[in-house]
Amino acid sequence: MIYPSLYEFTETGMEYFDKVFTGHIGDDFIDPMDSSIAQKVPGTGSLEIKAYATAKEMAAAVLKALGTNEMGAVINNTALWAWLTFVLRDVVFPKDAAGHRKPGEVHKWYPTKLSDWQKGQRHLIRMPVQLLAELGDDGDHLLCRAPHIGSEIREQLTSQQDMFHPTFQRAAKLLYFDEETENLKRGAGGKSGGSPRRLAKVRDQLDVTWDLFSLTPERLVEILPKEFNRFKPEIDGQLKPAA
Amino acid sequence: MRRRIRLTGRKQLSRTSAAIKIMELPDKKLLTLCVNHPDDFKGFPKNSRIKIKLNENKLVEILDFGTLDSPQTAVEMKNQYFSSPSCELRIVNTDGDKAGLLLGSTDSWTLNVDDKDKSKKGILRFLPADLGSRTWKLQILDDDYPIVQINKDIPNPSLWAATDPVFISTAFPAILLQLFTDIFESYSADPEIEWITDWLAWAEVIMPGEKAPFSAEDDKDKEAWIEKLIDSFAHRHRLSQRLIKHLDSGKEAL
Repeated sequence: MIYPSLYEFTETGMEYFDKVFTGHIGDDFIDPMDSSIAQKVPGTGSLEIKAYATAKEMAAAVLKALGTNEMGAVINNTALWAWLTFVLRDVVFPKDAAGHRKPGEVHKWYPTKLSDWQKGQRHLIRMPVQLLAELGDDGDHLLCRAPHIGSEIREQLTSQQDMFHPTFQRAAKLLYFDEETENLKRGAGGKSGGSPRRLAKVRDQLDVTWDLFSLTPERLVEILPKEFNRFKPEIDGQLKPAA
Repeated sequence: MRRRIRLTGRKQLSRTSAAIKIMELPDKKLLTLCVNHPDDFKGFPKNSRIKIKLNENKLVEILDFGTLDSPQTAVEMKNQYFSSPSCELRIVNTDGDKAGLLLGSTDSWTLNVDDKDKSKKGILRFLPADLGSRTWKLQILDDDYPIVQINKDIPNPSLWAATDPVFISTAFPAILLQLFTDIFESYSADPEIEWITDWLAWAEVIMPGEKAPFSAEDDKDKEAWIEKLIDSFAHRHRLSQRLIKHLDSGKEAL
């Protein structure tokens, strides 16, 4: 299925969207190009709905379809992200073997305000698109999994406002992303020493002492404590683990 | 457990040490800096850099205002969509091994493009009042944000109300009940009054996807919505757990 442009739900569309995802009505109640349900977003291009292998691939397709609309201009357009959630529902909320769709936690499908710092980052479409727009390839470690997986690493490394900066995410990519396999390193999804969960906590502590935005990603990795040694890469002997 | 406290050497700067403003021009936004109290910056190396961190909607931008001995007064913001970013002034070392060390910083606060005073007001205000034997009272105004009056005989009444676990866990649900009951009784549709709009936006953050049922014919639907909002608020802020923890700590509750 290819949509010729992106749409935003009308008020009626938003009501139906909510009812579909809470199981009160079926998908077929929504025709996402019916003018009473959704309106075209000017400046947008076509979007193909297909089985995207990774969240990055899906985000790239959406980003391209946004056309002349800058991310900052549409980030708070709840009706647009809701429409995208609906048309991409088979990608981000695939049906199980029994044919049931379980969208789960509301923040994954309903585009909560991004000012809700605790939950706003959980949306399975808006957040990958925002990460790709902001970080490009520096966000590979956050977007390398299938679109329907809201990974632990993304949850942890988008949980603080200051994490949306290339220096921090490049450092995290150095730690957790395997460039050869284009996937996460072994153990990067865990919760123990050196894990993304710990990096989030340690970042918070280092932020009191360092202006982390002034450091290079390599320097940031260098000053991380020993527990991160198992993830630290060696680059021509330059990047020494902390003693 | 023994806790070790390490001092970082970072100096706490006052928010008033410099005036920082967003200036909106027809085609761009500038951030301007004016040092109010030069003495606050004495002691830092002259080549330290002045940086301002802006955050909004999960976006961060660092603006470099040059060095202390040669500061810039205005820098163009790359992100033209920031409207009310949080702001923090930082002084950063540039020398040798300690390059990047944070030498001084302010707390963060909210900047606003169009209305500088709005951010200071918040959607709920606390003011001391002569309430006799009552501890608090909600004052709902037609055209301004609601006020929680706090008995003036309570030490630091406004601070106490905004931070005390007992007050927060017991009075806040009642404040929400009273506030939204009043809104629903007064209006049959979103009146698009600024303070009500802000409270409805707050409710959406607490309870995403649950629109305020202005048009519901049965009052029970409105009551159920308010109850759900209070439940969501209590759950999110772990009100009962915080209260129990506070009581367990042996502090006097009331």
